[in-house]
Amino acid sequence: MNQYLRILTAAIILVTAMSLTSKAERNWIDGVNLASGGSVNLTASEGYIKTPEGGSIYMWGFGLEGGVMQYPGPTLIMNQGATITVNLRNMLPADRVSIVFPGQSNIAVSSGVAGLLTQEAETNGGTVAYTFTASKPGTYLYHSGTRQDLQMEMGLFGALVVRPSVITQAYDHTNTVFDTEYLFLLSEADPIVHEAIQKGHPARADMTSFWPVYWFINGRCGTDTMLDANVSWLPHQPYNCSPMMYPGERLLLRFVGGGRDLHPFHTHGNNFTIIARDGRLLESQPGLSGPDITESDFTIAVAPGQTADATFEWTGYKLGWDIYGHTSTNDPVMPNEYLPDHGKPLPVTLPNMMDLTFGAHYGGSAFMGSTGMLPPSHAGLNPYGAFMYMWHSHAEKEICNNNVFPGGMLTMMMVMPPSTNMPMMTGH
Amino acid sequence: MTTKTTTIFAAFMLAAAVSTTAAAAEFFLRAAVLTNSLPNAGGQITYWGFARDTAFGSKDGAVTVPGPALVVPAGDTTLTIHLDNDLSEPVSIVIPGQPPATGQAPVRNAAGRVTAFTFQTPAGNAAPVDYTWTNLRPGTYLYHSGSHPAVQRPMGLYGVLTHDYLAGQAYTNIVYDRELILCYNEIDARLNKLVARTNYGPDKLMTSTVDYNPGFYLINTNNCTNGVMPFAVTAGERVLVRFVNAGSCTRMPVLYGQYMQLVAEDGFLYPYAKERYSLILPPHKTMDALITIASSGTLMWYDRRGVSNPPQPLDSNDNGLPDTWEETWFGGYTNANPDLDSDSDGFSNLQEYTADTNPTNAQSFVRIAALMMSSGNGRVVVTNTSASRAYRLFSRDGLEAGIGPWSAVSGFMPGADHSLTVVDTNAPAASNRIYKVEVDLP
Repeated sequence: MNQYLRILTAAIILVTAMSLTSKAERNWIDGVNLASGGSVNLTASEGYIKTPEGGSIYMWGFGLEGGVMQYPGPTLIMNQGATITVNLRNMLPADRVSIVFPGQSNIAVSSGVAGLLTQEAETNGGTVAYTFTASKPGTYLYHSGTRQDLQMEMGLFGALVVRPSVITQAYDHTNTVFDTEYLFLLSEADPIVHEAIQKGHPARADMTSFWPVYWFINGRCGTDTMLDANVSWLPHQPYNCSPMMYPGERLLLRFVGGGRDLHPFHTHGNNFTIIARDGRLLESQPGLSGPDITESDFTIAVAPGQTADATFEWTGYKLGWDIYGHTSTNDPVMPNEYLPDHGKPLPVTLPNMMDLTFGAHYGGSAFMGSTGMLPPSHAGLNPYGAFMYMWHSHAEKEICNNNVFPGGMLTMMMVMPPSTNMPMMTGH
Repeated sequence: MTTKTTTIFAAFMLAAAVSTTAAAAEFFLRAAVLTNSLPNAGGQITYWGFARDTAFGSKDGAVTVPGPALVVPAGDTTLTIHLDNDLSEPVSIVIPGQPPATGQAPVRNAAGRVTAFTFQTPAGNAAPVDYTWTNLRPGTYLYHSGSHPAVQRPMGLYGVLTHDYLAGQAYTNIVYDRELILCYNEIDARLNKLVARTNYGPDKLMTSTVDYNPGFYLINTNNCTNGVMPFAVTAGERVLVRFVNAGSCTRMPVLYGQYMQLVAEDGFLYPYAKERYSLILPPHKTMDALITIASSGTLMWYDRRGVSNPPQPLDSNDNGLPDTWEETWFGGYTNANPDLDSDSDGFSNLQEYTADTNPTNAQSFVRIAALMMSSGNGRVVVTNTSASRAYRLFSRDGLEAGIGPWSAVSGFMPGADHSLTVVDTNAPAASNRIYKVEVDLP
């Protein structure tokens, strides 16, 4: 019964969401479109990333041939059953590089030289090629299989997304349908290691004393995470992480552990439901039952080398008051409004403006879709009257940039009023 | 009639089973010192490990870290470990997840704080001290000393214990052909050294394990770079992988190229197997995975939290001078003062270490010994060089103001034993040039 209701709810949500935004306009994650397979040419090279407090860190990363070093490497997006070839050219002067694809099997390798886990590309222009067919949908990663402790710290990793035949689903099951997807590729950096490599002292890059002080979502520290993708002043960090949704929508959160530490990622506002780990649905009968042994939680341990998929929904469920500020049950019902609270007044008397401290993301009103008076010089980061929640690492030191708060693994999730037009990003 | 025969047969089987389950497993374990070497660990590492002897006092087992894998045969319900202690402090044995027999209660000091999780075996005991567990559960377990755990666990007093539900069956319906035990553990060479040299504890060089910082990440007894460990397999076989983390750091084993079925955790069977290529393996956790091998070849593991060995030699007192260097020149790992110039040659002991010269010989320091012109190039001969250091030459054409700063003639270049000749292709033919040499660690 419960299961049936959930399917029904999902169907209704989908229909409602469609009426607001057409499918073509939904937010997809950014990346390289390899939907029907083909080849992608990646170059491992050096470069510098920026941190919001004014820092700059020397990195190694994968980039598209002819482009620049990227942190993280390009997100590769392909369809289930497609075959891709990743041609790697290593432009690093001192270290061999390779790529491993955990979760994929039967990876054919050509050229390169023998390494610990797979064939590697020699320094200063050496090449190697990896070919595989993605047999199952899901969220995966790729990373260097050479001196992993150092090279992943230096930035040699990226995400891999495999879509099932129905691309509005995360997996081959109708219960994995989603409206909008976001990537959370988490990593960290210890600048002492990067400085040792930059200055030509590899023996001083001691990974056994690793002590990171920067933390990243999709290669950016908070609050750069909330900037648009591909902003010109972050040429080596093209990806952002700025989740937005309408009430009643279902987000798909793709979590990937790119670093060496585990990070407890926390969603404020509601629990999420973990539906898959390592690219496999959490189901009692693999391939048949769909996600029926899922986990509902508000913090997920995003583990190095591992992936997880979660869905997130928000309607104002059981808030206990009308989120839209309706004061009468005769007021019109908003799309996907949580009906039992319709018309219920906010159970507190709002304080006088003179008694408030104004956060940068406060829109001037306690109610969604409403704005109000704000003091002069207020940042005004919430012009829509959206509900904004900080999504962040729950290890509090990880929401700093080298001890400066706010920063690190932090972004703001926006629940947008149904009446607004959500800014749309392109992707694949 | 037929029915009755069957019934009698079943009753007979039951009786046989009962007699089997009444059996008890017994092991003689001994806690003792073990030494071996690991790269950059500052000489021999001292461990405390367990050995399995044939009888109390025979002392014929090999001391290992991790200790010997103890296999309790399927059907046994009771386990007794007779403990012998050749160390200098009391030890004990606990097995998280297995029910201990009565009498195993925490030991408290005068202040009421727990110092051991069960009764202890004193150092140099004359008779075995027996630890017993009853109603044994099937599964994969960690055994370790329950005494002074902050020190005795990192020193190496741990091992793996397995107990199958039935022969060839780890748990109900978890059938396997071959098992692979992966006991993850790690070593902090500094802690082991300072404990062994009685320089650990209040007012000592290392006061507690708050700065525990392992540099060697091991699987079983193997010092694996990034946790990479190959394992040869044959098509069709069902391999049971028993993951145990005996260390203090979370590890991330990743199976490369295929998936495994995670079937149990802490000796408890999951209601549904989890299909994964990786797992989070926190300290003291055990997990079991089943892999049905599709084709013969090699299973490859790596550890996403593993590292390679420390690139710099151990420096126990953190004064910039490695233990082995202080021992070589000053007779002890804490004897040298980095700021002193012990041989009065103008270079401090830290500078002598940096240059790899003899800090007790006033003639031993890096110097430019000769300059010459050859085929239009300047040749600068640097002496007292070392193959394990890097050198860089600078020049300027006068010391007066306005002549310009020192400019590098070369980038860092590896040294050679005794002397190194650096070529300056821009040396002026008819005027003076001043050189200086910089030496640094690699």
